Amino acid sequence: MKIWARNTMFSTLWNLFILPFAEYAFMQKALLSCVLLCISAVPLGVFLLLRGLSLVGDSLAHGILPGIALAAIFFGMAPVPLFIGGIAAGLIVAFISNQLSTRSIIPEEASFTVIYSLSLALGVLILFHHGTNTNVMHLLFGSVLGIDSVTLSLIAGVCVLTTLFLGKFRKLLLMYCFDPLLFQVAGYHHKVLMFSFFALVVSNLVASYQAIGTLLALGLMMLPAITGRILCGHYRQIFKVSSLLGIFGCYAGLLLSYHIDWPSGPSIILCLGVQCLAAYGFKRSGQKGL
Amino acid sequence: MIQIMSQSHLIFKNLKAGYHPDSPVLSNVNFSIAAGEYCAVIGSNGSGKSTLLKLVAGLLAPLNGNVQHSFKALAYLPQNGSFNRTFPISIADVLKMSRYVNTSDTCDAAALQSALNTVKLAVSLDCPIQNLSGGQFQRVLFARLLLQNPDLLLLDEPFNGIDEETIHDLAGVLSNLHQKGKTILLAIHDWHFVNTFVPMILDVKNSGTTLRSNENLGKKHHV
Repeated sequence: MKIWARNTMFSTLWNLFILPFAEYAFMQKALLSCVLLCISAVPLGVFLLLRGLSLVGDSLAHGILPGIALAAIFFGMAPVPLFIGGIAAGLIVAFISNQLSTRSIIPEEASFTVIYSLSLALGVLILFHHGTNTNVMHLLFGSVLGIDSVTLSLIAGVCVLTTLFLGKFRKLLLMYCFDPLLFQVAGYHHKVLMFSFFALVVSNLVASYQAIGTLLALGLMMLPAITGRILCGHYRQIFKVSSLLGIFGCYAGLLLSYHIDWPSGPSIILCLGVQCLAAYGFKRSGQKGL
Repeated sequence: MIQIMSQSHLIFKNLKAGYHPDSPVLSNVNFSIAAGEYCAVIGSNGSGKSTLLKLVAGLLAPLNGNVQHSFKALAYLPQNGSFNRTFPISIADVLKMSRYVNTSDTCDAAALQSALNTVKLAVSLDCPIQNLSGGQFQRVLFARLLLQNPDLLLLDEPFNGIDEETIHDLAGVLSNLHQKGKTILLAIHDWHFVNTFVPMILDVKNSGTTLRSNENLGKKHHV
């Protein structure tokens, strides 16, 4: 009886937590792409958070939409043109925003808001006139369960590039986040470093859109970073914990999506958001306990 | 106007500087400071003390004229409020940032601890900076300055909001650096400090910038 009960419980747990990924290739690809994105995008989110640039990330996430929309019209839903279109649009948004903030009294955050509102409106108008409902939903909310091998390769490429960059420049980025004046006095070119950093942020957002969609891409980058920041007191722990929590949140979101038949992108972001609120509650209760 | 001396290491020539061409903060600034001087940069709020230090640090380009210096390594400490004190790093992390400025390998644990001892801070290197008081944090920044091993120190009102004991300890650190031949430019409002510790005064005013010896050094009255 005990053996039967144990086998039944094991079988239930297996069916709930492992089976979807053991049996279905699309679930494996979805999970793998999420793991790669968490390794790649979440550390960038931590840097955005530490530098106080979360809103800039939001602006870039929305700013990539017109490029992706135009690419979708001219080249269909092929991943490579969509990827290039998104990166081009993101970099243009970053460049124009930087020009606005350096050549006028508008602060950087405000200039990003101007450009992202415009680019989001432009993207939606392009899709409204030329896109199908399927295209619009796919571009705005993603479809991680439909990720193909080419898209997975692009995500892996972005992940490798980001990991190499952070491996080389993580300490310098940290110094720039904490003490940008020391960075400049030391003779480093902060514009080159920050342009490279934002180019990687854009690349990761474009890579994330396939899984989460352009409207939610920033959530995958920022929510685990914020959760890690709430829970940990040192940047090294924040980087590790954020990426691990991101992977766990994606895993839980994919399970929700599979078992309850919810859309995958919003399910993942929902899990990451709940994690973040739970971390906040946990930290608050811990402080009160002390 | 102070004459420019041939042995000078920091020279301002016909300098005009500010944040907008139509309203310069500093105009027609001409002076020179020899290597090894300890100089208080004095002036009312908005007179251009911070602007002057930023120009020397290379953080701001002159609108006109130029700033020349022959120092190989310089260190700049901005005003107190410039740092995010909740940043998730330890004291050791802050001190190790000096390695990016000073390429010599002086960032082992013993060197970091020695720098902390010099600024009289008895806290673990692993302590997060968010646990430090304002005075303790300023001691950490001074320890980082020591590790940078600069020839020229540019300090922008480093003692604002800092307790007397810390000011006294850090003043001792600056005096030691001066005795070792380092050049120090210290923007400050505190005449008591200036008259106790600083032998030269750079008076920054809209009408002109003048460099003079501090005749009240060692006297216990205010100017």
